[in-house]
Amino acid sequence: NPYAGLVSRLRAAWLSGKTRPMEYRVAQLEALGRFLDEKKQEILEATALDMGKPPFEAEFSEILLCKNELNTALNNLSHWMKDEHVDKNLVTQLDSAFIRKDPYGVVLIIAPWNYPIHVFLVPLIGAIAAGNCVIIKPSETSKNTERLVAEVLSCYLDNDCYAVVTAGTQETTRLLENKFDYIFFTGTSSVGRIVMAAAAKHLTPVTLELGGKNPCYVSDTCDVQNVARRVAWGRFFNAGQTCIAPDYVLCSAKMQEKLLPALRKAIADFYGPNPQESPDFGRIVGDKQFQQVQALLHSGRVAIGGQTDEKERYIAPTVLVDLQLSHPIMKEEIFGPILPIVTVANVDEAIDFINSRERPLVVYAFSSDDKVVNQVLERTSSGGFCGNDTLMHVTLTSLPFGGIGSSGLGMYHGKFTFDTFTHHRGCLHRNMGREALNALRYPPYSRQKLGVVRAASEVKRRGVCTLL
Amino acid sequence: MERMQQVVGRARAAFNSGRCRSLKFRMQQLKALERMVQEKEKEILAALKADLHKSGHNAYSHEILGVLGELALAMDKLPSWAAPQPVKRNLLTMRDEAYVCLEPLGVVLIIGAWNYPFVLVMQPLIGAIAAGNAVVVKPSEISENTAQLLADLLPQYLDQELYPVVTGGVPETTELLKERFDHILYTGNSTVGKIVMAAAAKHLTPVTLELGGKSPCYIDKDCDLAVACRRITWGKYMNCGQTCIAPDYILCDPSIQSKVVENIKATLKEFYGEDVKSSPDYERIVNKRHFKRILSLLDGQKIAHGGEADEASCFIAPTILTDVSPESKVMEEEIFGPVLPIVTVKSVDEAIEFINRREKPLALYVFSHNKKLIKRVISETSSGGVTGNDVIMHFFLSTLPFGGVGNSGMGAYHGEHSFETFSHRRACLIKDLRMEGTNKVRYPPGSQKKVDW
Repeated sequence: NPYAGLVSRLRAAWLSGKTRPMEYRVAQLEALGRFLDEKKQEILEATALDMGKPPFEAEFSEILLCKNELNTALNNLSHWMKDEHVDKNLVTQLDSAFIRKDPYGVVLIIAPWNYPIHVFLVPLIGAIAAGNCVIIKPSETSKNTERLVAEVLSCYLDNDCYAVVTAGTQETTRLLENKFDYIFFTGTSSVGRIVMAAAAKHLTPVTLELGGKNPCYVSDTCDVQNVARRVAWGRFFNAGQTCIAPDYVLCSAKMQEKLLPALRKAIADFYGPNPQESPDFGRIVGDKQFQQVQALLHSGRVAIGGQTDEKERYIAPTVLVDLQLSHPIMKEEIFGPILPIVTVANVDEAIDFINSRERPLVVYAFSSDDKVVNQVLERTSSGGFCGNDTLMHVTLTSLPFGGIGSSGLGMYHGKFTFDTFTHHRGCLHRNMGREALNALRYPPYSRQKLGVVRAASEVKRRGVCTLL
Repeated sequence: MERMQQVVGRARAAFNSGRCRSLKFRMQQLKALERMVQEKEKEILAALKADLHKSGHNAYSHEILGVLGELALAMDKLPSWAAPQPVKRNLLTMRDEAYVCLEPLGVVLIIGAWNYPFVLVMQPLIGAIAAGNAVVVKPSEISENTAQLLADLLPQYLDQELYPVVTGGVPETTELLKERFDHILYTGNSTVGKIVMAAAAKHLTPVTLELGGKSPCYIDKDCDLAVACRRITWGKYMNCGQTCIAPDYILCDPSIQSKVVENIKATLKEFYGEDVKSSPDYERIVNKRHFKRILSLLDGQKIAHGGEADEASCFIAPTILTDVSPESKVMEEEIFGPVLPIVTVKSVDEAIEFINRREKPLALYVFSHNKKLIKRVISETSSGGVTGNDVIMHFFLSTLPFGGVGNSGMGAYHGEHSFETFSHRRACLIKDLRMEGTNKVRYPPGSQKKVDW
């Protein structure tokens, strides 16, 4: 077991209690802040090399959003850590009853390549804030960022308690043989199953942030140009390699006719006449992924874009129409800058379509009519929901971010990350006096005793009424 | 087995029909459950007596009372639990609607245990129904009378398609676990817990595992031994020790060991009289297999009290073992029987070290007049839950989440925690299709000026 030594080293650090005082956690979090500030250029360069990430996008997702999470944690840590006192019932009225926020111990964070800093850093913030020791496994697919993190993070964080492991598939399988006290995984559903199966062997709780095909319903009543801009932005951000990107559009044939020129205009406004020359449009992360996405272009008909350049791993912002459900592009998550439009007769058909498929990470619905947006919300199920925009729900740290069904289990962001990495321990601290009050619960039992118990419990129908 | 597929398929179709989503429907079902518990109290108590020799008092206060309380709480709070929760917005979303919707997960599976066979099915069921799910109930086959009763009663009171009861043993449960659920709550042991989680992993199904372990009970020298021992005796020997949060073993200084034994002995007499076997308030071991297992733990041990047993009636007397070696068999697995080992430790430091060297337990108990010491034990150990200066009682406060950690389980329930366990927190952000001006900042072409805002 090649990682046994590392895991036991971290476990020893955990048992020493080092990560528990608030001051320690604050110091580590502040160090992470310095990492983001001091290494900003390096992060921008590494992600540019890995997937042509435009600097604006990288600053937004890898730096800005991460700093927001960091500041949220630092501003609220003492409050989050405090014992949470709970309402008491009749019997426990004079006791101290509270929920203690215990760290789990040694936790593992496995991150994917698409937002390579963000997707390990945001969980890491919560894991540190919650007082755990952490092993971070960044993606080997975003090689430059992986190297940066492996080399540099150790200069900022306490190496006794936090370690970065670089590993491919084989090594990650070996890593998962070890016992962790929590595993946080972001990636595909198929690997998610493997991670959960490995976790089951040790009864390790998990959070799985997976993916799916996020539908985007556009109703006939809407400001088409605004819709086109917001949908295009969400789809083509990071060249489509976003777990919450609108994966496909559902709209009427009439709306499709209006949407196409609007999308064409939005793309031109964003990236100019030749997106390949725009510094604001990304590239596919690797050759394997490029081939996979490129193959999806053979579905339906190209209405916008469709150009590719293998050398650069460039795929133009593309819109496809005339699709059949049997086309490959309608089966798997696209994870590329291609937007298929599927026509439906009305919102009911759109909702049925959405409900006939696996529950996605997010459902999008666009309409100037609130009722339509609410209908889609109420009659579908998904990790999250955003009406009249794309991606933005994840920028609000007060909203939980997570999937449902095959798009994942668990959630994070803001306090939810802290809670994810915390064992909520129910504690009741009683007094050794007033033993007479316990008399009712002790044998020998008599009809009278039971009578008193029943009578006492029937007094209050409202609220908790457990009396022994 | 086709039968499992059909049962689960029917529940899913019923869920998809949408009828269990309205609060009115959920309330109706909860009210029906309340009627069931009230109208069939006699039958429920009789089943518990047949399965575990539970006295009417214990059966009522441990299994029925709690259920009635949870039902009352759920019906009272459902509208507020189910209401969308608005969240704090930032500058960018100031004009938008941002809230969390609590939505049902779908079809959930509840696998019950045999030791508190009624409440361990009913409490999760209440939460699952309140949260708007369809529920497949699989009571433990070992407590067969209660299992059969639930199979008979639930369809009489609840929607039959949405809340089916599946009976059977290991083969039936294995088949059931092949089906896809949207959450599985399992109460039982860690070995089977791993099997349940592995089966869940195939479908990416979230799980709540209420498992067990050896719940330690540290008695400090500075405490009222008579009171402490009475409380410990109550919690240890209730249900003949077959309680997941029973104090499994005692840790104390050698100088008070004999006083502890004396006090427990005195309390036992108080509780069960001279002849425990004839006390109507003392239960029996559930079956021969467990009877033999528990008896074998006594091999080679110093029996300070008890040790009598009668296989025919699965009776094991309340037993105390002293000077127990940490390496002995009785200190390896969860006892789940009326045998109380005492392991001596010279200090609270040693006690904490002892506890931390072992798997995280479901419950942890510490008795002391010294508040600081209790706080220290809590802070330097980990466990599912804690009661200080008593045992068991944290279970009965439904505002506290009830669950394990590490080997003793994952997830939690009771009260509102049940509702949350069986709900999906769906983040919702509703923006305006106008106000496009504020979005221009984020659209390409990007520039440094934009980033600096």
